[in-house]
Amino acid sequence: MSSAGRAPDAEIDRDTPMTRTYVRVLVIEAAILVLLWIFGRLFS
Amino acid sequence: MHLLDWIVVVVYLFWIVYDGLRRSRGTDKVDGYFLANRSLPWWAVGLSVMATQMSAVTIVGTTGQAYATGLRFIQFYFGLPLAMIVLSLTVVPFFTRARVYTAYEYLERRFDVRVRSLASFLFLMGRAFSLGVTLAAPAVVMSAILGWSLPVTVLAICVPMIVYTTIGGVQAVAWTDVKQMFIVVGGMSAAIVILLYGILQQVSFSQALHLAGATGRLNAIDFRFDPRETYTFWSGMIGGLFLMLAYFGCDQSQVQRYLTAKSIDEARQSLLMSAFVKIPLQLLILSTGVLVFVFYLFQAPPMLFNRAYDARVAAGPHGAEYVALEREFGAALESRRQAATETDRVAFLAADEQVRQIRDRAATIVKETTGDSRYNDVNYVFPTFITTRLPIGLVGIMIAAIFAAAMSASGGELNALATASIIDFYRRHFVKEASDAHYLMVSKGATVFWGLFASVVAMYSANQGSLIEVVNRYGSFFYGSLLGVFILAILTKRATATGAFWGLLAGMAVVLAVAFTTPIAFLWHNLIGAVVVVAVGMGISLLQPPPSPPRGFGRAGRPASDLG
Repeated sequence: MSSAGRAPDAEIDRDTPMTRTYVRVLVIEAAILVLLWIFGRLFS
Repeated sequence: MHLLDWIVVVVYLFWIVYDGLRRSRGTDKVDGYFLANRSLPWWAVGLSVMATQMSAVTIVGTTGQAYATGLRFIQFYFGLPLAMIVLSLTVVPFFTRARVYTAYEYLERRFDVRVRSLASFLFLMGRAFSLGVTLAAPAVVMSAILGWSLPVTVLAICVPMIVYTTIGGVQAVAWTDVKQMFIVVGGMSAAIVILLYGILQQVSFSQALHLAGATGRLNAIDFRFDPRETYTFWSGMIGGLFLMLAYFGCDQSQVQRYLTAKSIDEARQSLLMSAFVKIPLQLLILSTGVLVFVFYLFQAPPMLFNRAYDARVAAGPHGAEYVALEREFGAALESRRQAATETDRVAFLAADEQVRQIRDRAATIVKETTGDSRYNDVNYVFPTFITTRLPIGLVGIMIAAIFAAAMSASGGELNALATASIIDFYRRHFVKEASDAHYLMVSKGATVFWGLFASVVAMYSANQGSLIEVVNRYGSFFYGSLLGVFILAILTKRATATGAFWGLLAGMAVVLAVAFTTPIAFLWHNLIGAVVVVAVGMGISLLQPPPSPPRGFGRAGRPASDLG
């Protein structure tokens, strides 16, 4: 099958570490969980 | 519905098809048709990933569940952010470097053609049936609300979706998804504004929260460790993690979305977009359901939201009792309204319990009269609110949003079904050497076939309880086992093809046995499936000679165990 029109291989393989983004994801999820728990307790 | 609302819906359906066709440029080759020439930006892929998950089931079923039980369904998504990180580190670079069309192609490189074909077959069966249920959700409800027959409603959703997916391929699907996401989120936000406006005429925002909280609807987190409970913190975090790993890592309908991204970085960013946005977005939808509950504390709701059997019940042996129940229901609603206005917690909870008992009795009468033991009105709550309480014009937009959600979720799945059929079966087993034009033609044929297949399944999947659960239950039958075989493939060098093949079959068998003979909640099936496949697969592999090193994987020439 043809691969005409594809992005160049070097572009496709661009691979940068994203450790800071992963940490941000975890911190935000933890914050949401804590807020949800407090919210439930506050209004139950 | 007002004429203006009908015009909005019809114009929207035509616009979606037109725009999908306009996006079909560049899809005259198989690479373009299935992978959009790996040219899409991360935000478009990310929105498409979220649109594929956010089906009409999400709008109709999730709001209904929140109306009935509150925010606790949010726990289902707790494993998602972590799963996205794991996948960003592992399979995203892996599949992208491999230049594969389907996730299952890799299983042949690592094991053999049996494992690839079995995994792809499991995907096709599971996904085709759950696609049918995904389509049934809006079709069943909208046919009752709009007064259309079920086949007509199914066709109103399926025909536009099949047309733009068949002609435009994944590129049309992705760009249509982007627009549909905006319509869905915009529509839900407008509904929330209307709900808040109605509620704040009666009570303050704080009082509204206390009323919802008094009934337990704001208790989003349940820390009990009980495997029989469907939604707990632990089932979401552990079972949900395995489900999300399997769904986004092994389900072609998701893998194909991020394979269309321009680069590994952009594919990662598209997944991490879900990691950031999915839980808040689900909270928005669940909150809508809770607000509908509070709204109906002050505006009389129907005794049952699904009125499909009204005439039969009235003419049946319990007709008189049903009429008496409706009077009793009206009195109970008034007591509840008064207690809610006066914020008398004890009286409010007593009246709310009375309302619940009357509704239960009414549902029992419907079941006894009609013989429909699965009768359920959860999925009718939000559509009833839309059609009876929203202003003209907005009703049309919300109905269009439900159709949009149905099509955006289904278009991606349809394209993935066609991809797996053609790449893993047709090209692999039947016609190995043919022109690009030939493969493109049969790919379009496969898209039409699966679209029609799912339409037929949709017509037979009506009234199966809360539809969001039905979809996830279907998925959980095979997701865990698929994840197990990918763990064997990617994380171990010792696993053999025979071990993986029999491990996969054993995983499926155990999950089916657990599902039908134990009360263990379905989220745990994903964990059980994965563990059984890995245990049986490794056990059998250790009885055999070690496999020869896997063939080179991807143009970067990296070995199978190197996760980049």
